[in-house]
Amino acid sequence: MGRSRQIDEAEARKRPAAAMLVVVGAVLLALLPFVGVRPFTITLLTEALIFAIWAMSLDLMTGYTGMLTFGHAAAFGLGGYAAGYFAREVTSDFFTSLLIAELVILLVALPIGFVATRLSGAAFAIVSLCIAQVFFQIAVAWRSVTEGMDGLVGVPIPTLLGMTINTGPEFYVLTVLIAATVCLGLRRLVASPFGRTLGAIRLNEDRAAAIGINVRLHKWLVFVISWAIAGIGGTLMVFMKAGTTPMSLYWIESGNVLIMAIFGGLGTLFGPIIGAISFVFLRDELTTGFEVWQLAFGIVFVIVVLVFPSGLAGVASSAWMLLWRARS
Amino acid sequence: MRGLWSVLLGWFALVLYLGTDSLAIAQDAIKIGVLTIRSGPAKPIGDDILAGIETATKMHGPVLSRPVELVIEDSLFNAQTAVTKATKLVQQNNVAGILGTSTIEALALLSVADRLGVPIITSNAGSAAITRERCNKWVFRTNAEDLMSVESLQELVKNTPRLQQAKWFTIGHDYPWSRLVAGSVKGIKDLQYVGETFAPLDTTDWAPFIARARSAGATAVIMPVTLGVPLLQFIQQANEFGLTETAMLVSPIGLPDWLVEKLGRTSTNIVSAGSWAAWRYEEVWSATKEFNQAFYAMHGRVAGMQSLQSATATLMLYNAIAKAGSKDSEAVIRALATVEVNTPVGLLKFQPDGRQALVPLFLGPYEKLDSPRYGATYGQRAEPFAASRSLPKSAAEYGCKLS
Amino acid sequence: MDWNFLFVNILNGVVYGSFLLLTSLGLSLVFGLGRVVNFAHGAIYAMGGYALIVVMYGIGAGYWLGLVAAPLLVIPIAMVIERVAIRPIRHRPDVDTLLVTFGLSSMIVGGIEYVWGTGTKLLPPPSPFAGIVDVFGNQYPLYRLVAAVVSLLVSAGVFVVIQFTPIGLRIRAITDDPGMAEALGVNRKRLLTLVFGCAAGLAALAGALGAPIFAIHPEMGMNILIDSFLVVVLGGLGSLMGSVIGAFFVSLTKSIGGGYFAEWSTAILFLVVAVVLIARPTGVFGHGRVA
Repeated sequence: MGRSRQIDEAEARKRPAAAMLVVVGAVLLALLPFVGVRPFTITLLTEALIFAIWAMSLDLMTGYTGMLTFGHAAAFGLGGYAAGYFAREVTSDFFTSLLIAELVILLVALPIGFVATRLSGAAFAIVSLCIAQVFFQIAVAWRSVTEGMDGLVGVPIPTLLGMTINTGPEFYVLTVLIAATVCLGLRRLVASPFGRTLGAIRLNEDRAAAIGINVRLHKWLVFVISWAIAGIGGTLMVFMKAGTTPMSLYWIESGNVLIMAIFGGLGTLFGPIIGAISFVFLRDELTTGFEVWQLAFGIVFVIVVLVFPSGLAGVASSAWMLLWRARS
Repeated sequence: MRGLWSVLLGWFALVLYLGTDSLAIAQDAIKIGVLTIRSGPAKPIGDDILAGIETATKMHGPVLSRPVELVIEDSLFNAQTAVTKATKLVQQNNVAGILGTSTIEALALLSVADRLGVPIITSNAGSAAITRERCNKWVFRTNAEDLMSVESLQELVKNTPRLQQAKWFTIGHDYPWSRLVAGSVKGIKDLQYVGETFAPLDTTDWAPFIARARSAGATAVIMPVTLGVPLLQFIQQANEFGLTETAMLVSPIGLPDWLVEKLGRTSTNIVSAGSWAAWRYEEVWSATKEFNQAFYAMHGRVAGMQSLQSATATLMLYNAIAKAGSKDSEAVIRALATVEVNTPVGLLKFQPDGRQALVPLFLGPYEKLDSPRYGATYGQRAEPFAASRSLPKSAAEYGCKLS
Repeated sequence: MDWNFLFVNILNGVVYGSFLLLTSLGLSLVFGLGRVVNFAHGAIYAMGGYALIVVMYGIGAGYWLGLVAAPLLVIPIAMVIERVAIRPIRHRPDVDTLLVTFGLSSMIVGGIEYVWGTGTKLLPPPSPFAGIVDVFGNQYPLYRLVAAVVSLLVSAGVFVVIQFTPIGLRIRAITDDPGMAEALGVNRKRLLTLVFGCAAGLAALAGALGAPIFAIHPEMGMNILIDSFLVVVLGGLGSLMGSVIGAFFVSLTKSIGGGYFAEWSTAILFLVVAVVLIARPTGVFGHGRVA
């Protein structure tokens, strides 16, 4: 999880331009359905962007603050269940459901984060796994609310200010907007003094504490913020799939988001986006009529990890530098 | 500025790569979607489901004078993936219908059925709600649902003195289905129920749960355990601990035949409380025999209940499309609602104003065959238990209101 | 209070614990020595089961020969994997080896599915031990007891090697202080490859031993992998004694939990592990190595 100081400083200089790129990129992405891109590609992109939000939240915790977690499905799944249940029972308004989901997440993440951030490294990673598995079991056992292993079914189509947001281009544009907002917001956060401190914590917690940083407080805040953002992803997903199951809390899902973020490139925020898009498209391609997808996936994965040290974002930035070398 | 150009270039490249929606060329084949398990531990179930659909498709021949093309997607046995793949089948392949789903996929698709807008016929989903309180005009089912199995279990107990006097115990996975099964046993009058235990989803070591049954003195164990590897492991370990000597094992919905063959002699200690299909029905029903022969010719093994059922669903769909005269979805579901087809599980139609097929359940013990048939040495005796004895008279009576 | 029931559950716990110990020892050694979190350990466990099939049905050998041969088949393969996929990236951040072993796990499981299909293969216990014995009035499968004894003997053997042999000395040296040990002439790279191979051998042995109980299928190692991670972190990374405590702690919780709390057993396990770790982040015997 290392990024050299030179890249840090170069990134700082690129900041305002980068922000504009995010905006422009988002606009261009949002235009895709309207220039004739295939409907299913839009569906996959929607799913990819939802995962990107989730992966970016993981990047904040793991890439920027150095807190590796094997249980990030807990935040995503919890958001989904809370939003989905509320939407089905009370109102299908998107922002209200999101608000409720965020309240539930805060209620849960604040105490859990407080206790969990006592730990670091492998212990923290395993405890996160344990927490997620306990959530899984609760989702399975609390049948009266979650309907157990059968899952939450029949979540309605979301509405926004009275307007129905149908799956397809409408929901896609909403997702693009939210993803872009999250990306910009996180970029602001990591560039702020608070964000700079996270880097110090990631490099060496003890040294950071020695120079007066309240490591515990920072980790706790990062935990809660990360969960909250993951919850946004979970809310979007539960509306997209009109439901959820306890499997959304299972350790395999936590593994998936970890793959997306690390594969894409930790500590870059763009990396997780690329990672999420790659993961979704790759998995879809490999599981259509192709029965050995695990083998193919594993091979691709190992090769990428061996050959590209900083994940796909590293590839992208190397390609970028190569492309523009002549003009620098 | 550099960045801007890069992004624009990237965007154009992306659009080109993603591909724009080309004008639809009139395809000759009718595409039918098959959404099932194509990887992982439950793959053998998906294999059986797919094999049944393939055999039925071959037997049936062209639909509306057009060849049928099966588009197969892996659901990864996961609800969220199932929704994505179903969307792909509809958006990318314009399928006329979706076959092959099991409980997980069917429940997931139920929530988005209106968005998908194509007939979905499940042949391997037990959750009663799918055709009861959660029924949807697009989703049909050809296998018996869990509440129907309650009735057939009662019939089994009524006909088997050894079971009537036994001390019953439930060992299952922690699914709502397992609790329903346990509840149905508890609901039988004058039956001794000595306990139940539900194992976490990914249990590989059944020893503690078997010990629980032993310590309760169980002599009949009903086992709502996930079909596939878990059930195989459970039965093998039950055998290991000698449970199969001291107790009769009852399978709530029957066993796939590959499981029966692997168990060999042990399978004779097991009785089915109502299988969703049984190949030995060929002893009275000719359509079953024709299917078994075609299946054996195509796949080299005996047709298990998942195959017989998926073939049934396939035949219902093809006949409905033929009856409707087109693959227009609304027309097809209207046709499905009224069509009556000769299938390997009998002459089948869906309940009026409902989405549940009036399908029999098959009771009977697993026996050693006098001589091997279709490569099988063991097979379940097939005594049909009519749907009329397990389903309420009308769909409305059991909570299905189709708008 | 049904003492028999409690006893059987404890016995179950000890049996499963002995398997878990084999896999956890390997995992702990590999981490302690090389800081490698080996996600492929579960896949290697599965390789052991399939190696057993290859030897038994390919060559027609008996079970015991297969049991000895299976790890011997897997060890060289694991050493090659280490040399090719892990050693080149050792200098990179820890996540990278974590990712690579994860990818390898997918590859191995996928490869197994490709060659043998996803079906389950049942293996009957070897004939002298196929029956049921009476243990203090409880019926218990003999083979489980035999497998447990074999596992425990092998684990004890591992301890003996680590504590009393020259190579064990080198391993302990590298674990305690890699820099110093290398300065004193220990060839770290070769030792790591060797230990990785042996750890794989232990996992493969566990897979082969467990095959008659848990059946053979491609994903057979996934459950024990998760449990092994819990064990290793609970016991303290790099601590072998910790692995022993951890293994039996986890397996007994699962067993007794399963017997008394049924569907809640794994949740209880995870909760308990979380509580222990929060109270003692470095694990029960941790050497302060947490990150």
